[in-house]
This record gives sequence, C-alpha cells and structure tokens, in this order.
Amino acid sequence: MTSTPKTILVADDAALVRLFCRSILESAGFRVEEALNGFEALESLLTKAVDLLIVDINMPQMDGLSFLRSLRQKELPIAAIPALVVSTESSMSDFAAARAAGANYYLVKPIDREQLVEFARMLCGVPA
Amino acid sequence: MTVQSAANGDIKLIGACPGEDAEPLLQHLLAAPGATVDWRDCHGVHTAVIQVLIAARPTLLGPPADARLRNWVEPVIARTPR
Amino acid sequence: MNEFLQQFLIESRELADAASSGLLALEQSPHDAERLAEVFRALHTLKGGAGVVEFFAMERAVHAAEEVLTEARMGKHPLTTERVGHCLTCLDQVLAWLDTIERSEALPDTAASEADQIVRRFEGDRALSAPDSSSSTERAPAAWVTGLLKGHHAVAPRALTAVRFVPSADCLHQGADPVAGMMSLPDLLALDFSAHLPWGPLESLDPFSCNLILMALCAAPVADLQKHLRGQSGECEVVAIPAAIHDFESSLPPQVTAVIKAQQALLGEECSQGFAGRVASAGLVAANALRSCGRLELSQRVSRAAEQSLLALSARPLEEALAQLLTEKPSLAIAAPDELAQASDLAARTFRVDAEQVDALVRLAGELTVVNNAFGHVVKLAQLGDPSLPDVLKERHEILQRLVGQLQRSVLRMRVRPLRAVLQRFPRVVREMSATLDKSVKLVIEGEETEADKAIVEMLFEPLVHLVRNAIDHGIESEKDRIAAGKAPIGTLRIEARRRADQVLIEVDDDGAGIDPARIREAAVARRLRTDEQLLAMTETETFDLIFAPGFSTVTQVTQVSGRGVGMDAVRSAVERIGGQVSITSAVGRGTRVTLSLPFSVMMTHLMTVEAGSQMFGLPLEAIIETTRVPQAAISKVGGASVVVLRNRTLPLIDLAGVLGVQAVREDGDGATVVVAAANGEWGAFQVDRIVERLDLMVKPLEGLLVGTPGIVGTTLLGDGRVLLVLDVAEMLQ
Repeated sequence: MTSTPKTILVADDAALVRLFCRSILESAGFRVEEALNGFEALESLLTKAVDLLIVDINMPQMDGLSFLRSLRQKELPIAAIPALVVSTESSMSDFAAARAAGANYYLVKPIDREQLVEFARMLCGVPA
Repeated sequence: MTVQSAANGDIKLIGACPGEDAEPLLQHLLAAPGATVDWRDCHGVHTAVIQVLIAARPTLLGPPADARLRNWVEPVIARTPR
Repeated sequence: MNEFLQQFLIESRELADAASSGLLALEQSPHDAERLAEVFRALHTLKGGAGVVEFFAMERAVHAAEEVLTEARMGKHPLTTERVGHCLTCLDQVLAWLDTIERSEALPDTAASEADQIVRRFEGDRALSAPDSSSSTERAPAAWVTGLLKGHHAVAPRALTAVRFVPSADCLHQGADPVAGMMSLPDLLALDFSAHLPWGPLESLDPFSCNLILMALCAAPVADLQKHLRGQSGECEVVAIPAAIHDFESSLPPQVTAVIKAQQALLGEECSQGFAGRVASAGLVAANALRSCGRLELSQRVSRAAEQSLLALSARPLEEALAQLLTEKPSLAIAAPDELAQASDLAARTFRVDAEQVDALVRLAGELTVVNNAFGHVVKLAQLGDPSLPDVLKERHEILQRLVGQLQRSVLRMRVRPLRAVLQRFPRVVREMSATLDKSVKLVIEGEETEADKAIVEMLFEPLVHLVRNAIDHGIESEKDRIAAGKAPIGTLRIEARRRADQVLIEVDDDGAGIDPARIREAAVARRLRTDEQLLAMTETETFDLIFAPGFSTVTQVTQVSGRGVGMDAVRSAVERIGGQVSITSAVGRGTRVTLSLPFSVMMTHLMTVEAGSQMFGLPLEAIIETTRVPQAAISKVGGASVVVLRNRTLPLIDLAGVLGVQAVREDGDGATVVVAAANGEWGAFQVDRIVERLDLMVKPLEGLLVGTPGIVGTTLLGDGRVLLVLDVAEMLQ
C-alpha cells in the first residue's frame, strides 16, 4: 500500500479562505495547491497530479459551477476529478445546481474543520 | 521484580511479566485500589496477569512498549467496562 | 515495472487464454487426451510462474484447477460441465488479478480470500475426506461469529476463519499461556476476550484459574489454524466464515453512506453534457470512500461498475452497484453478462512483434541515415550557389519521400494483429448468454486469422457483444418455436471475418426469425423518427438502416441481458468513429446479417475542428485548453500584433483566417470566438469564425502543393468531401 500524500487543489479567489483550507488540510497530511481562478485551476489540473478539487462557488470573479461544468465536459482524464463544492447557500435548489454541474459533495459555510478533513479523506480514499 | 511500586503509588509493570507476577500484582491492587498501573515499559504479559488486569480494571498508564500488546491486548482491556 | 514482471504478465495472460479455449473445447469432447494434456500443461506452467514471482494466492487457486485436470487425465474423475465451469471461473479470477498486478505490481489484499473461495468451489465438488468441526459452511454462522465480525467490521471483509477458544480452567497451573497462543495465530486480524463466568469479588480472585473466552478473526484457512491450536487444552472451535456472510455486512459508517448517496444524486441529475466526467468522478469518489473505511472488495466492485457504465454509456451499472451497497441484503448475483464486456485486457500496452518486422525497420533506419548524411553536401551546394542545387534537392526529396512512405507502411504493419484475439472470446460469451437467455445456439467462427489494425481489434469487442446479444435474444427463436417453424432446433450464429482490398469485413449472421420491415416502420412512426410518407418512399435497405437511429428500439420487453435497449446506435457510432460502416440485411423467418466494414489500417488523431474564413481547420485536442468568446474590450493591439486578455492572462491572439490568407467571415468589433491552446510551454488564442466539433480522424502528412505550408502538419478528408487542414500548434505559437 502506497502512502504518498494526496494533493488537494483549493480554488478560491479569497486568500483567507485558501489559507484556512491549506492550514487545516496540511496538518491532516495532505499536500495543498492553490488557484485564484478557473484558469489557474485548469492549469494546475493539467500539469499536476491532483486528487481532489475544492471549489468555492460564491465568488464574484470566477463562477465555480461554470468552471466545474466545463471541466466535466472535457475529454481529458481531469474531467473525472472528485470535486467538493463549498458555499454559503444551503437550499435544495443550490444543491441540485451543484450536482447538475458535476459536484460530488457539498459543504456549507462556515466550514467545520473536522468535517473538511473527514470528507477530504473519504473523497481521496485515505483510510482514517 | 517485574512488578514494582513507584514512589507515587503507581504500580509499574516492567519487561516481560510471567505468570508469577499475577499474585503480587493482585496484592498491590487490593492494597491500593485507586492505584494506576504503568505499563509503558512492559513487553509482555502472561494470561494470568491479564486476568488480574481485566478483573481489577485499574487505570492504565500506557501505551505499552510492545507492539503486540498495543495491537491486541490494550484494545480489549480498554473495551472492558469497570 | 521491471522486465521480469512484464514478461510474467504477458505469458500468464497467454497461458490463461490458451487454457480457457482448451477447456471450452474439452467441454464438447471431455475425453480428448491430447487436449487434456495441453490444458494441464498450460495450468501447470501458469501455476509455476505464479510461484516464482511469489503470488501465492494465485498459485493456490490455479493448483486447484490443475488438480481437476490431473484427475481427468488419470481417469479418476472425468470432466463435467460443472468442473469446467469452476476452472473457467478460476481463470477469470486469474485474469482479474493480472490486471491488478499490472497496475500496482502486487496482488490485491483480497486475493487470499478470493483464492480460498475458488478452492472451496472445487472442494464442494469432491467428496469431503476428513470430517472436522469447521465444515459448517452450509448452516447459518453462530451468533458469536456474527458478533465478532460486527465488532471488528474494518477487518471483517478479509476474515476467513473465526476462532473461539475456552481454555480449561487449570491450564494456567500447567504453565500454558493461552493469550500468547492466540496472539501468534497466523494472519491474525482481530482478537477479543471476555470473561467466561462472572469474576466475583477481587479478593477471591485466583489468577491461575483461567476464566477467559478467547476469540479471534484470521485471514488464514481453517487447516492452518487447527495446526496451530493443536495441543491447547480446552474447548476450541475453528469456523470457516462463509463467503456469503461478507455480503450481508453492509454496516458502512454513516459519513460514507452520505457520500455514496450524494453520488447517487449526482448520477440521477438530468444533464446532457459531461456524462463521462460525472460518471467517472462519481465512481471514483464512491470507490475512494469505501477504501477509506477499509471495504476494499466493495471498492473494487464499484470501480468495475463505473468502468462498465463508461463503456456502455449508461449510468445504470454504477447506479445499481451503489444501490446494492446501501441495502441490507444485496443480491448475491453471479456475474451478469455485462461483466463480460471488459475490454481492459485487450488494450495491453506491450504486445509481441514479429522479429522480421523489427529487422525491416532497422534496415529502413539505415537507409534514412544515408539520405540524411547526404544532405550535408546539399547544404554546401546551397552555400556556394551551385546551379545544380534544385535538381539535387529534387532527387534527394524523391528518395526521402519513398523511404518515409515505407516507414509509415512498416509501422502501420506492426500494429496489425489477427482478429483471433477478439473473436476467441465469443465461444465463452455465447455460452453464458445462451444459458441466461435459455436459447440453444451453435457458434461458428470463420476467418479468425484475418488481420486488422490493433485499434480495430481493441474496439471490436463491445459492438460485437451487442450484435451477438441481439442475435441470441431477438434473432434466434426458442427451440419450441424453431421446431414449429420447421427449422433445426439449435440455432446457428456465425461470425465471419475477411479481408477485401483495404477493408476488413466482419459479418454476424443468425438463422433466426429475421426482422420484419413492417415492425420497423411501425416503431419509426411511433417514435416520430419518420413520417408515413417518408417511410413509403424508402427502400428496404433504408428501412433496415433505421435500426441504427438513436432512440430506436423494437424491443417491447426489457430482458436481463438486453437491458435498456438494442444498442445498435452505439454499434454504429463505435464503428463510424474508427472510419467504418455498418449495414444490416434480413429476411423474415430466415435470419439476419449485420455487416461491419472497417478500414484495414488506422492511425487516429483526436481533433477539434473549427472554421475560419470558410476553411476548416483541425487542432489537436491535447493542445487545447478551452474554447470561449471574448468581448471586444478584451482585445487590443500591441505593436503590430493583437493580444487578448483572458482571466488575467495576456495571450497573443492569432487570427486563423488572416494568417492563412483567407477572408474572415465575421463582423469585426463584435468580440471574438477563440480557442485557447498551449504547446511546448507557449500559450496563445486562435480566433475562429466558429467551433465545429470533436473528431477522431486519420491524418495524412502533407503532399503535393501543400508541402511546406508553415503551421500545417497534415490534412484529412471530412465526410462531406472537404479538406481539413490540421494545424501545427507549436509552430503557430512561436
């Protein structure tokens, strides 16, 4: 059984959110990459081996769901990347919209530290 | 002696504890019911000693040095209710 | 992966395939001594190989199959259909293990228990020799076993045996240490002990009177444990955990259940695009979640279901697998016919090549080197302005063209394989399907030595499975109906492959009920695919062709095998994607024939086609980052060149129409449709009139007048006869 650390790409245009996720996930043993927008996210996905994408969909500049949707439509292996969507909204229609865009799971802000680590582990296949 | 009394009243299990240690351990625990058993330097316990630990269920100061004790014995004792 | 392991994989796959076909032949003639010896040798060598690389579980499983052959050869126990079936299942498992070994260089954790399940199948068939207290595989397991499994559910899937040992009360006086004995059991997974009788007050405790019940879960088989526990005084029970019990333990942690439910919801969401991405990610996430809580076998099951879904272009297989995970008692279904359609073993990354072909390439390389060296002289002529330069160049160029043509042909030739590789899987497929569908079918395969490009061989299995499935399910009638119609009771299904000029023809025909054109017309009208007038004007061939239209199906009953539809449109798209065609002819009451005509050689490039200035261009897909529209405001001029700002990046904007000297067909100042591409670290945006579609085409290198056009790597012909220019992205971005 290999024990190479899993890499998580955090796509959020707010530096504070990226820092928050980075500190929690790194202490849990993950490697963290950051992206400020869809373009950078795509570049990271294409050039590095990313195991999980965490994308915030409440951002003025990057429409996280559009990005995810276009990602899922690509004919490249990265189209299958597990995606965890984070949002302030928690209505059923928001969940449905996220699913329609191809999100594998949805966490509502404020993000619980333990939940973030727990779900990151499950989506990456890391035993507890 | 592989069962020792420390200055603060803790009972220490040191090294491999053979069956002969079971009685002394039991006596210690009867004499000092609230005592803690420190088995951090313990490398093995005979079944008779395990019986005493399960029946008396003292507070254990661990983890034990030996991997087998950690993997197999410690979880069972931890699950046993007082 | 080291060469040794690669060699092991290649040889083992060959041996397993040889053994499988031998076994199928033996099923028809079980006393064929030569064939028995052949299969025995294949199994024996396969077993030996596994031993050498120390894949002991595989060695054990194959040994059980080898024993069957030994007994048959010695006349001790002839081959029955059941025994052949067990051997075939064993070989299927071996192939699955080989796939895992290829990916991870080791057998999966579940191999030991899977091997034991295989061995158990064989044993069930033999008279049980030694009676032992552990052969209670038929009865429901004792409560203590289920309790033990529930209490240690993380390791439960790997547990083969459960032990319950109550040492005799005075054993400690005799110097025994039962706990130590339990801790040294082979392949120990979990240990538990509890009090046999209540302890009583501490003062009256006798530490040397043993009062413990010791229980354990192990991954070692019963026999090994019995050996270990021999000589211990006390009451000892060693129980084999029935394989079935694992499937009833669906106690998944709640968070994992939540994740799985979320994937079900994702799959259920109606969405026209991105199907592959969504299904693949849902499967991956579910498999990962199961892996994170230690349920490795379930994880693999989900991964396989996801693969099937991607192959079959339907979310159903994965949805069903996920649903099974969440129910208390999932059905213990034997392999559904869909699982036969696993093309993974066909797309091997290493394959054997004729030594002669390699020699021919070596000679060719030599000739090319000579021509290359001669160019030094040509350069000198150019520097001196020698007037003979054009003639010398022309001559050299002709030689080079000839050699390059030879190179292309030789390389394409190396990819050619006999179709046997795919056709030889069908006796097994037909056997399973005719059993499931309760039809009697005889399969005739002709022309398996016909050769075709590796890409064809690899893609052919799935469409053929669809066609065979249809023929058996809807074409060939039941024995009763056939006799009533005056036909032979056993239907004949024929698969024939032959070469005709630069095409490979594959025919699948059956002598079944045929297709009634009237029913097709009815269905076409019912599904609003054609109007009555259109149908009246169609020829019979055109009518049959409707079968391939998406959304068409005359199946009124959904059967287990045919499932969600006929799959003919999938067959057509798979065939057309590789540059071939499929047609169908039929006669009511007599039978149906489907003909696939495929190109002999294929070298495909994945392209995105765009239009600029009425010219069609192709961009290699791997160079494309995204396509989008940019507002006019984002475009500006820097020096003489245009740039576009996209997502905080400034990219050179290359007007495809302009660069290649053709007239753009668009309004200026209205924003632009761009394709963002990257090659060799350089980024750029190509401005086009419109994005057309994604295609897989065979690209021909430049010849004739187009030679030397900068930025173009080759051409290809589109379906409508137009020429597509394939761009050299790296060159254009420099």
